[in-house]
Amino acid sequence: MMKYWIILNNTQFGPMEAQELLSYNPTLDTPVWHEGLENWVALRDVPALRELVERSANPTVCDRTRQWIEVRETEKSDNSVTIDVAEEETKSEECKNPNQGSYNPQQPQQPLQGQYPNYPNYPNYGNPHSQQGGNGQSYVAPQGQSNGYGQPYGQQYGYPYGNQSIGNPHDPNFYPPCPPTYLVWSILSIFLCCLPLGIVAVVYSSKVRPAYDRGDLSEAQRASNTAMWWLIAAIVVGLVSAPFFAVCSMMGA
Amino acid sequence: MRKDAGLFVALIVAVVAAVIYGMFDPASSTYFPRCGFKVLTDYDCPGCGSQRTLHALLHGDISAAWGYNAFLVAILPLVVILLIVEYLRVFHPPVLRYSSLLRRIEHFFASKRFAVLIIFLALAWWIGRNV
Repeated sequence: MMKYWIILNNTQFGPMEAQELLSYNPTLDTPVWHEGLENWVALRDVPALRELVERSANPTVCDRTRQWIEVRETEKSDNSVTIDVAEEETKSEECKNPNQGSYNPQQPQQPLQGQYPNYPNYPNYGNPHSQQGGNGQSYVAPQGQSNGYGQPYGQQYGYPYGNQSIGNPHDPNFYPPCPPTYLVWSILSIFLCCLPLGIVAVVYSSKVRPAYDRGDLSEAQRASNTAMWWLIAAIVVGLVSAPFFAVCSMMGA
Repeated sequence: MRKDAGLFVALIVAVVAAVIYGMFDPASSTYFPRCGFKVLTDYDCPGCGSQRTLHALLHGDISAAWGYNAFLVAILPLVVILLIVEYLRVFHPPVLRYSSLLRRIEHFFASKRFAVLIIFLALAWWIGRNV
């Protein structure tokens, strides 16, 4: 898969795949770079990305974004939450020092800082492949590589309580939560009502998180909804059939 | 609809079920639902015995519960952990995001590997208990 880098709000993000890039809500003017390009170019000039971005500009994405803002605002007022501050600080240290520890770029090192001309109107970010990270100060560790969990868990997406990040689609913290998997309920439905339907629900439950981790939010949402409907079907069939069979067995006995 | 409506309904159902299954014994009463698979084929399904198991567990009789549906008793601790994770996911998402142990647990439960394991165990139990 082609890896892309983008610049949003004067910060460079990457490497990431096209689907993952969508979660940053880039515009057609967002500067993009991928291997083989000489310069940063506007997103509209990368046909593959342009098509993706234009296709994703549909109402369902907006709806999900609005939901996410609502959820975050309720969470914001939830003061009973305990957060492991020590861990948080360690992680942000890791993020600030991309040259230490677990940062392992997938691409071979090319110390070619400054070889690629800069994108007009943007500060010097240097070559995304350079481990020195351009001018150093503005370099951000590649998303999701400093821990083993993929970007949705990363400190980078953190927990932005500030108002400025809510409603700003260019903010990297802007990442919707994973849709529910309904796994517990599916497992319980295997034992408490209807076996075959519960197993189908478990199968779809297990597809939610892998899709989410790939950055494929629409697929995750679809799997989540499918799991929910199979679960509802399992419960309804169980509730309807169990008394029916109870009557059957009483008549037979 | 509130985001916690599902868990709220589940809680009410659990309390009502606990009262019913605690007070009445499904083994001796005729008013409890029957498993369609068992009525039709006379074989046990993976869930057969769940009601008697619940009754036995609510009366603290673990060995009887094990005899009715061993698999349900065996995965009960797992179900409790899953329910706790589900509760945290709905009501305190930041806890899952910042505690690396919980995050790891949650990530394993959401993986394909875990689903395959559960389905395989359920099918194995289904065949095994009828042999």
